[in-house]
Amino acid sequence: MVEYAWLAPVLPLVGYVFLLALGRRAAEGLVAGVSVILTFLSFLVSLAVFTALGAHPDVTGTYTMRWLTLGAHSIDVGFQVTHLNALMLVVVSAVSTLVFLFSKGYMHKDERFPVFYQYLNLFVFSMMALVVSPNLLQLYIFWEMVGLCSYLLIGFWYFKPEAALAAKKSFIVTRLGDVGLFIGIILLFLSSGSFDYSTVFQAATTGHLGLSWITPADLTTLTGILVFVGAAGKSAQFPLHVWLPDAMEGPTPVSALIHAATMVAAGVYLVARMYPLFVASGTALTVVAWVGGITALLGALIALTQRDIKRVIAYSTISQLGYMMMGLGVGAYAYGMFHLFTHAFFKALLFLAAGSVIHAVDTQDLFEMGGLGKKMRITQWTFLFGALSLSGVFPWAGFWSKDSIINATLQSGHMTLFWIAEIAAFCTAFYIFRVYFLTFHGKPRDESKMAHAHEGSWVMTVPLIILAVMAFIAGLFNTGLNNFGLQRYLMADSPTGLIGKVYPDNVPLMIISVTVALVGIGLAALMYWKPVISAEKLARNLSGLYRLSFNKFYLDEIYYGVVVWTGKLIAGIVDFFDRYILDLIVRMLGRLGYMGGVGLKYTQTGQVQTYSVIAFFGIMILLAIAMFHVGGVF
Amino acid sequence: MGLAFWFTVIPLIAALLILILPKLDKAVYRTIALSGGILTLVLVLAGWFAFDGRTNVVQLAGRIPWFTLPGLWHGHNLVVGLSFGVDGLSLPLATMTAVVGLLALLAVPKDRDRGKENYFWLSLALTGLMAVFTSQDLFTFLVALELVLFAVFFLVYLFGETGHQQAAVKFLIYRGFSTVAFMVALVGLAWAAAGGYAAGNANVSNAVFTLNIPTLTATLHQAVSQWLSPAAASALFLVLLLGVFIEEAFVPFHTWLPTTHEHADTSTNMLIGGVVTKTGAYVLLRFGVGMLPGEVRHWGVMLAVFGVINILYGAFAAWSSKDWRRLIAYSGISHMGLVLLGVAALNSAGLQGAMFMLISSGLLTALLFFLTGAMKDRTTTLTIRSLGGLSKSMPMLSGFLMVAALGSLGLPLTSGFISEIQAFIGGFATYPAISFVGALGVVLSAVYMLYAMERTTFGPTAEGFLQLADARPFEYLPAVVLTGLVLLVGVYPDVIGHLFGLSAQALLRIGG
Repeated sequence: MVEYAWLAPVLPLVGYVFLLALGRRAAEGLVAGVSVILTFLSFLVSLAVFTALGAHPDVTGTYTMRWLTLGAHSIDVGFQVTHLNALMLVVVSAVSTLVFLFSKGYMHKDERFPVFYQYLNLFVFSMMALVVSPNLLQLYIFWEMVGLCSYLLIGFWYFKPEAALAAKKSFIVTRLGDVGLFIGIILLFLSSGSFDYSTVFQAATTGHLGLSWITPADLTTLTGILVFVGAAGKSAQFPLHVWLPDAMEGPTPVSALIHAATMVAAGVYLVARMYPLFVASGTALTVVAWVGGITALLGALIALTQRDIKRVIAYSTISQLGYMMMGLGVGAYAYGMFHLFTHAFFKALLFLAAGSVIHAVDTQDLFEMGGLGKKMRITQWTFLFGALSLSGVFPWAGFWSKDSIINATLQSGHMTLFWIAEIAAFCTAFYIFRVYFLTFHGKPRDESKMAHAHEGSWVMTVPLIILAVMAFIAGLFNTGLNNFGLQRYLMADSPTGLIGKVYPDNVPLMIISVTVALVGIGLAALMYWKPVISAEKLARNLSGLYRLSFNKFYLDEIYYGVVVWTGKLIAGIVDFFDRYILDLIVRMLGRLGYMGGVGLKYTQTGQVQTYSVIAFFGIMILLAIAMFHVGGVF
Repeated sequence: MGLAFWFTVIPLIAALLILILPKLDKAVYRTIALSGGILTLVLVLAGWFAFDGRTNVVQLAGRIPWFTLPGLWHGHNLVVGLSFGVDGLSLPLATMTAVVGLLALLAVPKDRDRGKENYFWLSLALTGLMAVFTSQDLFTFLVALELVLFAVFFLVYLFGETGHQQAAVKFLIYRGFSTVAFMVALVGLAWAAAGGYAAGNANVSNAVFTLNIPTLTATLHQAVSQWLSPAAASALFLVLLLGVFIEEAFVPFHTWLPTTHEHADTSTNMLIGGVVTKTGAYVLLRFGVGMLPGEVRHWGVMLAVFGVINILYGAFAAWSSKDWRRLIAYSGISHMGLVLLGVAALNSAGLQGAMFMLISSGLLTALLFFLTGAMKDRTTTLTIRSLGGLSKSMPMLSGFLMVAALGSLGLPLTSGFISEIQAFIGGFATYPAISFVGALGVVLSAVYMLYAMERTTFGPTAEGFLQLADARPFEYLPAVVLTGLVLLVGVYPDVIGHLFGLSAQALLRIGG
């Protein structure tokens, strides 16, 4: 089965080409139908590969062909199947299928409906091709391709200026990270002689990663950090996270698929894929852990006060990606990936449920909603499942995965990070239930918007229900119930046990974590459900902190003031230099030439033929002079 | 007579036909010019089948002797003539020239007032450009450069937009200087290879004066020191380099390029941006690396630093450009800076990347000029601020423009990326610190390109732009062909990579 894994990315590519051929006027049903079926087939292939690998852990393989020759090196393209990317294939195709179905309802009657599905198919193809890449160059190629799809989809409603700006911002900020990855890949290629993972790891783990201007140990750390810079850009880690909240300008299914479940997880996947390199450099791993921890806390703190439902969930995504990075950083390879797995489901669920709400009430402002639970039962209940999972309440999926990360952080001796993780967990439970109560409970704050609110058709509710089930049970794939199947599966990539550690369950910690979550939920309930505590008063009393959180720690302003402004200043200086100083010099030289030209102007007859003849004889004369000079005549 | 001869002179034949045929309908001249262009392209493509891709030696050669200078050098005769042929470096460049040339001919408006002259000069320029890449001796090469110089001058002078006459003169003066510099340096090299600077050296006493480029390359490459003192070699190299800098519009000799592009018409811009601005880099590869590799190594740090200066200067200047055509001009300068870095690295990845970049930048620049030209026909302006929301009324043109912009910023699976990464691999291998700084260009290219896109195709559509027509059928051809080639090179780089690889190896092998 493994040798057919290429079908998984190719099926959506077929969908893309087919939709491209159908054109911009194709019928909605046909477009969505073909897309859903192909992605679903892709999911079946992925599942088959996944199970085949589970049954025979040693059948992982690489299949390549030559792409380009570079001096003595041959660069290949192809695909490779490992336990890690088999899991990714399943996650990507599963969530994609559901989002494709949901979009049929959400994007109904959009003028560019077929184009939307074209982009989505291209995205799924790129994402899966990224995952199965056998080498770093191919990974980088599709890494940029998913970035492109993200750009196109954020800017899908191109006529909205905010969407256009957000699309541009997302591309440029992630590109800032990509340059790090770009340089990192080049240095790895130069020092190991190959883009192939296995060759690079071989060189890194045996200390043979060498360049003349740097020691092998430093080079390992440098390349590790450069790769992580790329991962941080794509996975919206501090300080490159600023693009993700703005990306919410895109249609909500896009937020669910790309900016929550799959593409933003590519950074986490990259760190996991390059894990031997990170392990070889302890420093790089520590950087990953700390950046992850800071991001987890920062995202959660900002999410506390946002008014836009999608932005809260976006900051939540940033925070959860931080958890995953932190897990990888403290050595818990399998747990980081486990959290990626569960998060994909419950975060896609939260976004789609939010999409269902936005579709119904046509606003994203939490303070214009309220009381929707009565009209949208399915959305309410599925959102609740997502929220419980995100908060880490037993036995929802998020509980298992988040708790394993927190447990690993504690047991590996990272005390500060452990406290950061617990504080962030408290905030997480609070902000998501703030959204839940504000949206579904209480009285409608804007009657006119509530009046026509109703549940979407089955294409929207079925994906919600399936995802809610997954948000509930996905954690069980890695519990005592199946003898921790997922982590055993993932660790099979490295029989020597070199990559990452696993830790035994820690029941007291579990109780603490659940308590933290419940306190957060309780506080949210007291403020927004049965308002015992006044949120306004609290915000006034803590106005400094409130403003810091509400204004996202002013990071956008700092970026604009420092990075963008510096760039514009330099561009302005270059422009001035180019127009005035350089041109002035040229004009001065020209003036000198003009004086000579005055004397020669009588030679200008305006006859093209004359010019050609003169030019031609000019060469001849020069040539003749040169040659006679050579011959020693002069 | 080899194919290289024919595909070089056929546009000339077309040009002469246009010249001698008396007052006819414009359509006739157009037909002649286009037939010439199509025949050239067909022959170039036939050349790909006839070319033996396993070796880098000059093939498909053709030569006509013209006159003889008897007993010129120690009793040997010098036969001066026109000599053409292609190797692994020339063939892809000649192909790009044929493609861009034909599309530039197509882009001439059918109702142009002085159609006869336009097609004449354009065909002549096409022959000149083909000859630059296919000429196998210095005489042919220098004649070709002159031909390009005058033909393009008249194209800008006669068919540009307001201010075009000054722009044309600026073009003529700058490029005239570079041609003189090439002449001095190349004749100097020929003289050196004949033992001109090494009189009395027993090894070289029986040297023959020749203008044949492969012979000169072989002679000088093997042991420059035998023929030239270090000081003389440096002097010749620097003169050559000065010519390259002016010809290629490298900072600080670049101001002619944005001015020219701003005032020339679409068809001329395609030719200038696509091919005319690639000849300087070709000179650097063919004569600089080919004949004076030791000097390239010696001045490597300087070349690399100038490469990075060009990458960044071009990018910042593009960012501050208020007009699409100036932006494209500066982005071209930025791309060519990467060529300089790749050449400076003097390794297979760097040279191969530089060669790829010539093709990539040529295709993308021509595409960008074509598309923005098509938009200007409708919007009457290319000032970035006054555009916006064009996706609404022209989704297809906007889509192609998006692909071109993405190629230009080096998105993978376009030719831009594969060129960029090879040049940077080369750069990082030899000059890591300088290349680190240069990598900033990767971000900047995204900044200025996406800024321009955001203001052009995104956003609300202005009232006046709502009723504009999208691409017409005849406009699809250039857009589809150029986009297709950009993607072909990006998706399957080996299509030109195997030829460039051979050429790069040949240039490096002899250099030692």
